[in-house]
Amino acid sequence: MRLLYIALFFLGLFTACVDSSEDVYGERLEIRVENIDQDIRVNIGSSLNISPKIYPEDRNYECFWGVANRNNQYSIIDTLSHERDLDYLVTLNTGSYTLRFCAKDTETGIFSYTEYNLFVETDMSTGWWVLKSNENGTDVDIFTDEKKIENVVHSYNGKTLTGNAVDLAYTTNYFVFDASTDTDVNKSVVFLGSEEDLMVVDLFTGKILRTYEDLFYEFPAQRKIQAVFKGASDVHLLADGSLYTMPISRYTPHYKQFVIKHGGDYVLSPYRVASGWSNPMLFDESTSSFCIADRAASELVYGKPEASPSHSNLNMELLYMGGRTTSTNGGENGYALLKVKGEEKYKLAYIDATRSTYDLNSSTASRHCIILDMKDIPNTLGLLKSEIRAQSQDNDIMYFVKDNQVYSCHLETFDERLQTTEFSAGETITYMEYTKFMQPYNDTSKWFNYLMVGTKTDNGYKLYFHPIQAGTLQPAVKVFEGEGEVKRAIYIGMIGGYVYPSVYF
Amino acid sequence: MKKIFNLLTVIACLSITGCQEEEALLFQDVARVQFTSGVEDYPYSFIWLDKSQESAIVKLPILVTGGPADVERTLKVTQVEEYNVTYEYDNKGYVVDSIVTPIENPAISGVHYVPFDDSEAKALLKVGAGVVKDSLAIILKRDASLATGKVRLRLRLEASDDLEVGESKYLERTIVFSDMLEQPSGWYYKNWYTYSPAYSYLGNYSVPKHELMIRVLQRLQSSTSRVDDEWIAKGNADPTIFVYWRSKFVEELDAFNNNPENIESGAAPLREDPNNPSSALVTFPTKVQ
Repeated sequence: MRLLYIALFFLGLFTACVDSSEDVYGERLEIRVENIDQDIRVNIGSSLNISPKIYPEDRNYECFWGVANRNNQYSIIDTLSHERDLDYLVTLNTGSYTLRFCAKDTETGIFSYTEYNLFVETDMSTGWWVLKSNENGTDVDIFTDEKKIENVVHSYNGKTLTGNAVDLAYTTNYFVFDASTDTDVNKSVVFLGSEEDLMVVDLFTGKILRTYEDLFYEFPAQRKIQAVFKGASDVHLLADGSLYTMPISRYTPHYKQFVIKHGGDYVLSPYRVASGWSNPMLFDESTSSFCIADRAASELVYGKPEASPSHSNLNMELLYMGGRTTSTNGGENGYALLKVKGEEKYKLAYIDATRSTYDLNSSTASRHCIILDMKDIPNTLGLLKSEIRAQSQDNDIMYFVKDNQVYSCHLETFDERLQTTEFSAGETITYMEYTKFMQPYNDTSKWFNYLMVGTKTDNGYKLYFHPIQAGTLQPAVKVFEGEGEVKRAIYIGMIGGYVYPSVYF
Repeated sequence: MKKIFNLLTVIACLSITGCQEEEALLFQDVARVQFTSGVEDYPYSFIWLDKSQESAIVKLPILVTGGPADVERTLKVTQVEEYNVTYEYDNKGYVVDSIVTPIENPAISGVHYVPFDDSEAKALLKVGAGVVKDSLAIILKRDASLATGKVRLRLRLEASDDLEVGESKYLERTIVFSDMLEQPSGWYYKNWYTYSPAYSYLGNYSVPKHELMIRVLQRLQSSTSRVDDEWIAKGNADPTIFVYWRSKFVEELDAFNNNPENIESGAAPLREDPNNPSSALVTFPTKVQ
């Protein structure tokens, strides 16, 4: 009897382990969804139409479309539609989302759940921001592949910045309070500065988010904007001779104003190497010293006076400083043109523009030196007399304007060469800057670099984009035209849901 | 074989009993009360109040477990003594003795606070109807002795007719108060497990630092500006305020420390205890997050 019990036990165990699902359920149902792009880009206000193909075709499906914000881990999925064919008027905010499609077989309940990348953009998401001045003040023209949007600030806000254009800077992670949700909302923004005005505008909509009146705890004595530029996770502002810092972070606290005013007696040069990846390299004209701005320091940081070569109390004037780019960060090194005070002697300093406060206070010479090399320059160079210069980010070459013509100067040989341009007789060069875009970091085919040359014409401005080959200007591949006089231009591109600017200083 | 049979029988029994569904654990306890967050000392000062004001109500947050009630519930609180305990160790590190000494300057009932059995005080010892988070309100009295020294009021929540006591570690808390400059509450802790932004951005508290901060605010902002509980709470909610003002405090500190007169008199550099030349220097952190 006991043997019978044991036999029955193992028989039961065996039968329980045999997979008989085929007999019960028949052939396994596999639902396959096609005809939906993995990456979908759509503009706000346009219709998103998708007609998926669902296989097997001869069955009935209940469908569901949902969307979740990809940048918010706590995001709850929102239902877009229960129809098989999606027809959705896009009202989402700009950003990257996960689009989800579910097709459930009504007979068996078996479902397919697939996800896609949805990038909600505007027609301003990718393009060139050209800061310019005209008789009405300062505004921005945006040039995209498809269109030109003139006077963006005035068009979307009914006002412009007062005074001539000064500077612009792009940053993400700027927070704006949204009273409807009682939360701070992360924005990608552009800081625009004119001689008498300052504002923060939304990259995607051009709407003014903050004005001069909202941007200070302690207002400058005079409403005089001199520069706006990026630092290491900061935006810096030079106003009425003082340097201000606004820390930028995607985490709390959210800085919305220039909360730090750097103390000290300094006169900052308009030239800097500030690409936004390290502390900006600056030059204090009052002491002839290189220095950096650090959010953690209440004053500018000059580093060790015993550095050799010394970067402090140089008794020189800074004629120009520009950045060299050796990685996708940009602005790692730079060149500075210096003139010995009271003499016709000139120097070229090759500098490390990535120094931190920690570096500058290090006892190790290789860390605390800003100037890596310093050499004399022949005082006959046209480069030294120019008012408009641009450092190549790719080569040891500086471009300059002389007699309304563009020249190059090789910084090793000091060989100066006239470059070929195509300006008409009535144009005057007013602006020149080397620009470089290195995104996506793993796809160099989409990278570009140009020497941008802006001219003033009888009717406004022209902005020429010259590719560079072995340091030599190639014919311009595009020319933008607009009203007024161009001051600066940067490229801002949205790639894979993320926004990247060109390297600029 | 018999062993195998018995084993299988046991397995079968276990399988049957193992599948029995257990009833969900439901709250069966009575309502209890305890202090909510940190039970660190709660500092308070009369210094910001008008001189004519002779008392003030301090509220310590409490939590009631067991859900809200439709009616007000009575709280009971007593003053308890505080002790310092110092241990003596042998050469192997084992405790061989301990010395218990009462902490000085206990608050005196009727002098420094309204007695808890006073009708005015009892009226405040309530948990509101429909709430589980409330506060223990104590009426402090502005005795003249507070102008020259601080006192400590160690409170203990006791079982009342309506509420039992909660976790033992959250039953006692001390109010340290005076009519002098005191560390604003919220300087060090945001809650029981997190340092506050005030501590992160302003550093250690000391009276000389506090006085310096008040001096700067009153000079640059308003002659009536305060660095009190409210100002610290405002900064804890928006630390950008601390970052801005800190740079002003640092400027003031540098100016003070570099003032030849202060150096001559020995007042500079500013120390956390001006009467102790070996105490720590007053500094501010450089952190900007």
